[in-house]
Amino acid sequence: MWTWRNDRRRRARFEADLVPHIGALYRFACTLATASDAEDLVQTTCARALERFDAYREDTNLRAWLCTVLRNEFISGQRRAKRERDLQSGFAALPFPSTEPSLETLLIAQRWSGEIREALLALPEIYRTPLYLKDVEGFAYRDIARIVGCPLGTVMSRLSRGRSLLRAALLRQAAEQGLVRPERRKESV
Amino acid sequence: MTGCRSMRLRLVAYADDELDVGGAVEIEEHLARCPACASEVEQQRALTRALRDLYPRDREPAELESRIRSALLGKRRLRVAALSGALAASLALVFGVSRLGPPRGEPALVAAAHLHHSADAGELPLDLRSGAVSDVNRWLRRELPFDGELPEPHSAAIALEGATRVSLGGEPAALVRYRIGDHAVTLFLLGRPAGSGHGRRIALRGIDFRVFELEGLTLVGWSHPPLSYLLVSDEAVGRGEACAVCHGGKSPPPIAEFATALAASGGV
Repeated sequence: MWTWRNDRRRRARFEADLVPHIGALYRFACTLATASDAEDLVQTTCARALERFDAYREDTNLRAWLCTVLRNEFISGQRRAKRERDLQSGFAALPFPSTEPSLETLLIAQRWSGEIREALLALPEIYRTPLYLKDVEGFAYRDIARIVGCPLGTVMSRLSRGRSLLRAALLRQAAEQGLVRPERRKESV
Repeated sequence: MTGCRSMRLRLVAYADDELDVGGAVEIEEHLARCPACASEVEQQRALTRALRDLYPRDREPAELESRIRSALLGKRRLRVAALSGALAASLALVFGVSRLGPPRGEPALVAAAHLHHSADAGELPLDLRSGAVSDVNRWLRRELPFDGELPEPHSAAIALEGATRVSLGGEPAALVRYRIGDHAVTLFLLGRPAGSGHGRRIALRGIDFRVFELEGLTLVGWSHPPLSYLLVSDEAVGRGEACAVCHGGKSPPPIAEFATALAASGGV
């Protein structure tokens, strides 16, 4: 008799704890993999999460935990050595930025939704993932550190670097389209 | 400027509101003296806002959820359905409700109750956090495959907190969160009329309300084709009060009528 009670619990767990996050997991998976692989990744994540719910501590952020499971599933699907080679790019000291034209105003005026996504997806994953989790999903540093499995300081430095790279890519694109003049210095609004 | 370079990571944390008060005060004192750093903070925040507001939020493919559900739960479904008649009967004894309805209706109510508790405990992240009904209505139009629109609560006692997409019984639904004083009130919107015939029935003004009690909560469901609604609140909210999330702007009679009818039908 106890097996159907477990089934009910599993079903209730799925409906209440996994289903509300499928959309967010899918969107996160789309930053890591192509759309059809993203679907498979979400499914594997749900299966793993159902198996491992006893490892989830109720006082932590459930969505962050699910994203951790997803990212770990993604990584274990990659060949680790190749991944590390691709992701190693070092943290070169950046020139301290000068004031620039307001990028936000431009992005919003031009409705550069697709361009922002393309620019983000073009970043190496070690910068792309913290930036996506922070600015698009709104996770706290603490949760991001857990999802990517590195210290808080590393999260901050990767965010800083990722944002600089993203800004530079978008400004370059804007300059190519004649929307900003690259040499001109304006007060940011 | 080299002093500023060493502050770079703290500026990032400050821009993201991740510094504690002491650290933030220290940074703010610096920003008051350093336009370059102030500009850097503003640029970080501007990029964050741009990503937050412009990054496309694609909906997952429509069949993804059902595909996952059948892959993870499908084989066991038959066994659950066959036994849940007995489950429904034993739940009726436990909760003292005279009619619970067929097995098919029940998982959605359990899920709704569980989601209400999760949202109340702060464990359910909201896709949209807003106290403005216009924001929620805009979100509903954008995110759900059906048209739902909420009225203004018209009462300072009612706080709208936001909304998120959920699934009830395999159907896409919207969960809208309110607070009335200390009490959480959740309103679910589903894009199809609900099945009738279950729960305690209250007919009022041409609408069939169905009332259920589950896990210390009162759930009131009704249809307004093409949508159906489920209002969930704890029993401490005087039965009519939760209705104020939509009826607060109208004259009291609809709420008082409902409360009276509820009492007359044998409510506690």
